[in-house]
Amino acid sequence: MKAWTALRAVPSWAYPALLGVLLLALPFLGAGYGLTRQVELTLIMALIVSGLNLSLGYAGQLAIGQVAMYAAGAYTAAILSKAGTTDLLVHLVAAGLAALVVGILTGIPGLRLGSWSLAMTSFFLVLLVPDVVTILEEHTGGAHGLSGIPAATLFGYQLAPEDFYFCVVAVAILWFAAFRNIVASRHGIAFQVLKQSPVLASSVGMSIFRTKLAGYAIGAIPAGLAGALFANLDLFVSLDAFTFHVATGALAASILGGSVSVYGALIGAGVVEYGTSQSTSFQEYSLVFFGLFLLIGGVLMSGGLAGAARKLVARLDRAAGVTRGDAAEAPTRLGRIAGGTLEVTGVTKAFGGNQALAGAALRAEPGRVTALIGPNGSGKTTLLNLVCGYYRRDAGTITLDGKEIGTAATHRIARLGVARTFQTPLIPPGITVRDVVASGRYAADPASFGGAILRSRRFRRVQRRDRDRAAEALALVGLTHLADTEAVTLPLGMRRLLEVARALVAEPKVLLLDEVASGLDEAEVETLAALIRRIRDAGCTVILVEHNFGLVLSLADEIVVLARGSVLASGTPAEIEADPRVRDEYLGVNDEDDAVPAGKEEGV
Amino acid sequence: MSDALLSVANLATGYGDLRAVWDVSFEARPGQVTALLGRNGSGKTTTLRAVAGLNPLHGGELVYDGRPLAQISAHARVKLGISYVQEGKRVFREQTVQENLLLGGYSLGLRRRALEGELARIHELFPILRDKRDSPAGSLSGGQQQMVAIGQALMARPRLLMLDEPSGGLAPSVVAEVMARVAELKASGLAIVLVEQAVEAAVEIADHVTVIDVGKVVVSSPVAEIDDLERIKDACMGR
Amino acid sequence: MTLIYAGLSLGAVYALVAIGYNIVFVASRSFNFAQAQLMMIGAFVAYAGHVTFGLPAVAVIVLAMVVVMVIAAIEERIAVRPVADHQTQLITTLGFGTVLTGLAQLIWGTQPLEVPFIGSKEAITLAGGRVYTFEIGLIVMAVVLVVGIHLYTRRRLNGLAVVAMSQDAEAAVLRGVNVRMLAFSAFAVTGLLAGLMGFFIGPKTFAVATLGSALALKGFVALAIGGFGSFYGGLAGGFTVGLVEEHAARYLGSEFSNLSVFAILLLVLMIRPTGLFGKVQERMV
Repeated sequence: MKAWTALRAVPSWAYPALLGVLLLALPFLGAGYGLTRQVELTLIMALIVSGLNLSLGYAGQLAIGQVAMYAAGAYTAAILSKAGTTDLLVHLVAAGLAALVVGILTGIPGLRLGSWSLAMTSFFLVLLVPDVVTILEEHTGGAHGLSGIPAATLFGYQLAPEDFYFCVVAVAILWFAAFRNIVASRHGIAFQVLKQSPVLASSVGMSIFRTKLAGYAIGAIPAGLAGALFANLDLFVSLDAFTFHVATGALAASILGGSVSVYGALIGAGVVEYGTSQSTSFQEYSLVFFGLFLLIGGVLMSGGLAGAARKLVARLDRAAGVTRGDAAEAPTRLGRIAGGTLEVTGVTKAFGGNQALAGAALRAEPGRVTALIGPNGSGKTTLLNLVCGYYRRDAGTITLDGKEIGTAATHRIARLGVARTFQTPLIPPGITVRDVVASGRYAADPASFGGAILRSRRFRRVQRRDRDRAAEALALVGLTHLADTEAVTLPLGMRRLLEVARALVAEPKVLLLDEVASGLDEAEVETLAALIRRIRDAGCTVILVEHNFGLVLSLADEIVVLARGSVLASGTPAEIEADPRVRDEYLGVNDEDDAVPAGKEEGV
Repeated sequence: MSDALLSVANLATGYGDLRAVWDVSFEARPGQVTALLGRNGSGKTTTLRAVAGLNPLHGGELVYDGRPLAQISAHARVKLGISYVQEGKRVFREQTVQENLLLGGYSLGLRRRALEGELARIHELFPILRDKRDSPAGSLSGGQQQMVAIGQALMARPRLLMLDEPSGGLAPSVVAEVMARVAELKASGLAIVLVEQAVEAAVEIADHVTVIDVGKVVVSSPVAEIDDLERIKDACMGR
Repeated sequence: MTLIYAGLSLGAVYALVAIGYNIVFVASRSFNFAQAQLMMIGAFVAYAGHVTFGLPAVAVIVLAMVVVMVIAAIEERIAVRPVADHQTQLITTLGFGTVLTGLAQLIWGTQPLEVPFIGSKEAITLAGGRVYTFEIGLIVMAVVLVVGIHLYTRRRLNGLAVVAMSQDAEAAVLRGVNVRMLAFSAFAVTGLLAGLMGFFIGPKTFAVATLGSALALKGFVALAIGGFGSFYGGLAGGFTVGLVEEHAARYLGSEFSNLSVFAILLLVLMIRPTGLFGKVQERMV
């Protein structure tokens, strides 16, 4: 166990780095042509597979068309070479761009309709490869393939096959480093949030469409790079390399290696390539094998071989008593929050024949808790969802600090400073408490993919701030000691606090709490009430949708009572408590007189 | 007592591993209304869902007509005569009123022609549904949708009817109409479990009142023995 | 006119795939990636029945239907039922389809096999165009199936139940519908139909292992044009794809037929992502 502890003291990136060095050293260790070629083919496959992992495993989009991007990259490089440009760097850049363009052009329409359409549109691309190659026969050589490609050069230096080996390894190392950096950044967390719940993703300010497109399109780049390498490896490109068979093999490798992993792609590609090259019976049965990989991998959802490795590491960690992460407590002071005035006037919304809201109004001011109460079906949640942009209102206005926000998309409203919690806490599985909180920062500071890959100074500054803010928020809700726990395993009370922390790190102007106390015991409700008071005192505008009448009376500065879609009464807790209409409405006393505005009654 | 059609004893249930109901007991008898009251999130709906078979039994016992329900799947419980009207008027919005009602009789295992004969019973109770026969259920007003939902449940010729907030989101005059129908059903000998926020309306037709808070029974009393309605109301507000 | 017949009959093949997708989609909101592979197996079984075993046509049809139904039932049990979310079902059903393709290659090889059809082998002249009897058969079958399914979902109680559970499975359970059983039956029925379809499409497309992918994609385009869950939409979409493909091949060259279908897919997704007959639904929290 001591050995294990020592192994774990080494930073986690050291192991893949070691593998990279080993691969670079392979020719010097006396490896023959057979082995180095095997490594080259495996790495090329691994590039394709890792693109799949990015879009399938992280962005949650099944895209089977990587092979088409691979083809685009290969033909781009080959055609460039034939035209006299043999520099490998130029090839890589051009091939990556070509693949990216294919990715964006097919991703935009493909992502418009649910998850199947991207799978299908990208799959369709594979079907189109032979047609496009035939149409461009004079450039591509059509069905005969493109032979006689001049060998690649690098800065004018002619690359021998042995030199080219180093280029393949170097490209793979660089890409996997970039991939790792993306996954370890807030974008990686963002992908997982999105995969779990688009509703949650948009509430923290993510554009669902753009994030998915980014995952899919960036996933095209390594396939393009792989294509450029492949064209220069054999100096021959033909349609045989870009078939459904290869596409399915890449997907099988992704599932086998574990699609939610960085290095699983290497393992998966290794197995598939090795099998294909070694046994002829594997080739004959390969489709059956690929199919079984997909079937079994999908059913077990084990996270592939990488997932199994992670579980083993976690088990050894526990056995050896390795703890990770910092235990330092951050100060629990809550800084000043600049609240905003949210005003809702005359909002109506109908679902079919159901008038959910009929002229509801609300005004919530900074530094005050405005509670929204009313019996079931009175329209509270509908109103909340209108404010957040999940529904479109039929009439009325919603303004934040005087600016109309009513028609903006959900993620834009979130970016304007509206944060919320959910009736049923939405916590993505597989990520830590700390990361859940940090995911709330998505809209707070812009941090680009490029910055994440290069670990730019700006990126590191933003990342540090994300971590600090998350630590502060965790300390505030008292969950610091659980920062490295997987968040979904927390009990309900803590998950509710976690949601509040996630909403707070965005430094929102308006905080919407949707039945935040339901399902909690008395002690938990007390903790929560104290927290809400502190948030209010810090200057935030708090809107509380709550059934717990006692909690509302003790916490709210202003109470708005909704009944059948419109405002029945509003005022201070004392006024509301004294208002007989409220209690009657709440407890459903049948009173025809003034409870319902004229003309709003539903016909029988 | 032994004349209960349904008896729920020390029920514990929830969603997955999340427990929402800890200890709830009540009974339902033919020709009587048992009102389940309590504030939102107290566990009323979860209780009904467990009786209907939608939520797993974590502990306690459900006995219906002398037999334990635990091993019987949700759709089979409908066949035994347990009809549950969910809150929020959950009708099949894209299908017509007629189709919704016919589906209500699915568990009877009759041919369509025979089922159409059953419609008369429902039309008698809710005449408006005959006129709206061919309208998509989703286009109806809230009150009418509630009638479709109740009508659907009645098509199955239930012995036990569970109504989850039938008055929710409806105008008072509609609530009165719905409650009047519930009273008629009670008179016809159905055992009814009524979940309501409208305390007064519920107590008016109920024979027994059970108030739940945080998944536990806080008040359980025959209506005849309730002298102070305020006490019930306070319990329902969580005080 | 000949071109239109060719387009419509090819379109009928795609419409049949779309029907299969739709049945499963309506019953369980899942997408069966292996639908076209089921039809492919149907075509092979029809070939085996006709040529290898020399069975009479009726026996061939029954054989194809039973074999493919059993395969579909197995698929539901191992690739659909154990998997909770629809995204993963895409992977598992694709895996199942890939296994079927692989097995078909192992058993029947990679060369296209010609499946005979009952009736005349000669093309007949109809309204100024040449058309084969099996092509008419395909078109008639697609139309009859769609009309039949429509009537079933309106008239039969089980049909009503399937539509109901596609809207709200829990509410359907509360009306006494055995949702799992019905979803399983729907899957098995698509297998049954796929066997029948295999018998009909074989003469047109031949039996070949690679049939699956092309059919799966074109069938999906038909579905996207028509809108998920709409049977008439799928039929119209199938005919559209078939006509476009045949016309593109005739006037632009065969290498443009797939491209033009793809262009239509992109166009539909950009302009009306819910399809021509689809409904726009509001997101729920």
